[in-house]
Amino acid sequence: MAKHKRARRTRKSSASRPPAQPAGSRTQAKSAAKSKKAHAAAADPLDDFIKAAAQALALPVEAEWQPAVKMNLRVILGQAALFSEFSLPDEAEPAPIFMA
Amino acid sequence: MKTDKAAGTAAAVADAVQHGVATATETVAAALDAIKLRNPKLNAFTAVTAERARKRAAAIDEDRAAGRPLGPLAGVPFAVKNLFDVKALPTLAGSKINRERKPATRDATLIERLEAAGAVLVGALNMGEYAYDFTGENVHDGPSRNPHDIKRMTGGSSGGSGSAVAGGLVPIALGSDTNGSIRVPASLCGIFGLKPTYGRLSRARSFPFVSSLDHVGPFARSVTDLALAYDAMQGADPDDPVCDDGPPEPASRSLSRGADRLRIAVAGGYFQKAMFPEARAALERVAKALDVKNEIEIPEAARARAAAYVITATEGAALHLERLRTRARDFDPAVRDRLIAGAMVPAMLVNQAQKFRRWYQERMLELFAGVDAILAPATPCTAPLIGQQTFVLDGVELPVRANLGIYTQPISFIGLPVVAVPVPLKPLPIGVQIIAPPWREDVALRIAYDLERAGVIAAPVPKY
Repeated sequence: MAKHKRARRTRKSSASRPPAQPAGSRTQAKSAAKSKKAHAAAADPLDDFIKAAAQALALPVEAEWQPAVKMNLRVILGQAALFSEFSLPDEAEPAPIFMA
Repeated sequence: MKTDKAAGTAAAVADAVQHGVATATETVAAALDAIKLRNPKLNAFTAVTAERARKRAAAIDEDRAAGRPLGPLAGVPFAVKNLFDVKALPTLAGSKINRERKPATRDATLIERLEAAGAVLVGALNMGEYAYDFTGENVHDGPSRNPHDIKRMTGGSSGGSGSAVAGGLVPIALGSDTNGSIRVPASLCGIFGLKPTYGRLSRARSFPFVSSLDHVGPFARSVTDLALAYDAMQGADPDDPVCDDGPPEPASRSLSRGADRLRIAVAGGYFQKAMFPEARAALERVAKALDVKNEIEIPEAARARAAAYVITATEGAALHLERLRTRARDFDPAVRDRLIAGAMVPAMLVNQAQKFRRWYQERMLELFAGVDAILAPATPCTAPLIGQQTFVLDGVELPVRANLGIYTQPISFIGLPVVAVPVPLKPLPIGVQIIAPPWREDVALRIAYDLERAGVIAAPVPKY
């Protein structure tokens, strides 16, 4: 309940402040940037992908491992881009071929 | 008796035993003494099989006394990276998890073959966890240390193998090489390493990492020793489906044929970038000694390295998937986080990597129509400090761990045979790769032998 009230006060305070005040502008801009940054971080598709893949594969990815896993996955995908952008004919055979 | 720990070669030890100048019991005792004395500093060994070694040595001495023929490696002590099965020991593969494995019931094929040639196993060697490593560091066993400066890395993942041979504990050791794990420690420790053609030597009863890239091979302090060990280990093996079933092709007897008539080139482009002056100086010294002026471009080497990187991460992840699910906290975090990431890579990228691998192999074979061997740096730098995370090259800060293998990965990616040779620069040695076409280890060894005879390359004796 108290949290709710604080939020209402903040909104009121913001709305009543004239937009021309420089200090308020700075605060708003900072707050908006922070919120945008936080939103961008939360919306990184690689985070979503890791979360989904970990669940689908039953892999435990603890919170403190997540940044390293993400960094490694980003590096692997970056490496993969190097050769997957290289044009090969449809008929190209992969290297390991099963011999019966 | 020329069985001194640091100076003795396998050929000298075997010769002494064969001619009765020394007994196998004495040569093995000398190695065990050296291990006892120096291993506390080097941390190369994770197990010493002293009792087994003494029994084996006694059997060799009995054979000689009875007039039975001795093998070409009679009485030569050797040790193996701890991913090779050693009867009665759990096969650690550098991990904590594998310590719970039951002891192996039989030796790896390569141990059996070296012992059949008269060599004597004296222990198992430290390595990076599950061979996913270029540094020689291990969070469970501590880092193996470089005998030329114990504050420095051995390189990995066969770090204990590099340390044991460079430190004079044994004249021969075995390692594995998936992306550079023989050639990197050979370079940083200043010794010879042979990564044979993919499929040449049996991997049976060794703990795998990336089946489609895994190789095994020897380390030594001379080309003759390297060839002796290599020859003793060749041959078909139904226990390794990848192992070639053709007859052995011994290389020792052709060493002295020399390199005069061989067409040799230096790898340009990718292989001339991102290296420290020491790596360039070593490469130039070798090229000059061989009078090599021809430079060739290995096509798309950066993409080849990238494809090897992706195949390694994904195949490695597939191998360890269940352990990642159930024992994730027991991994080295640096290994675990890479493997988890590897498990999440879409399969189509792996398929693309394998298609690119075929394309790249075809271009390389075309290149070998015009040359018999290619020279390239083995590592971009001499041994970094243990724990060092980055180095600065041309003003750019780069991660040590990934960059130690930049010159080795595009070569093992298509299974080419390579002899890594040590250039004894001061204060630290550094290696050069002699790369040959598939199944022509003999060519790379001949070139190495010529360079060794000319005094251009040598395994420097560390100062203790």
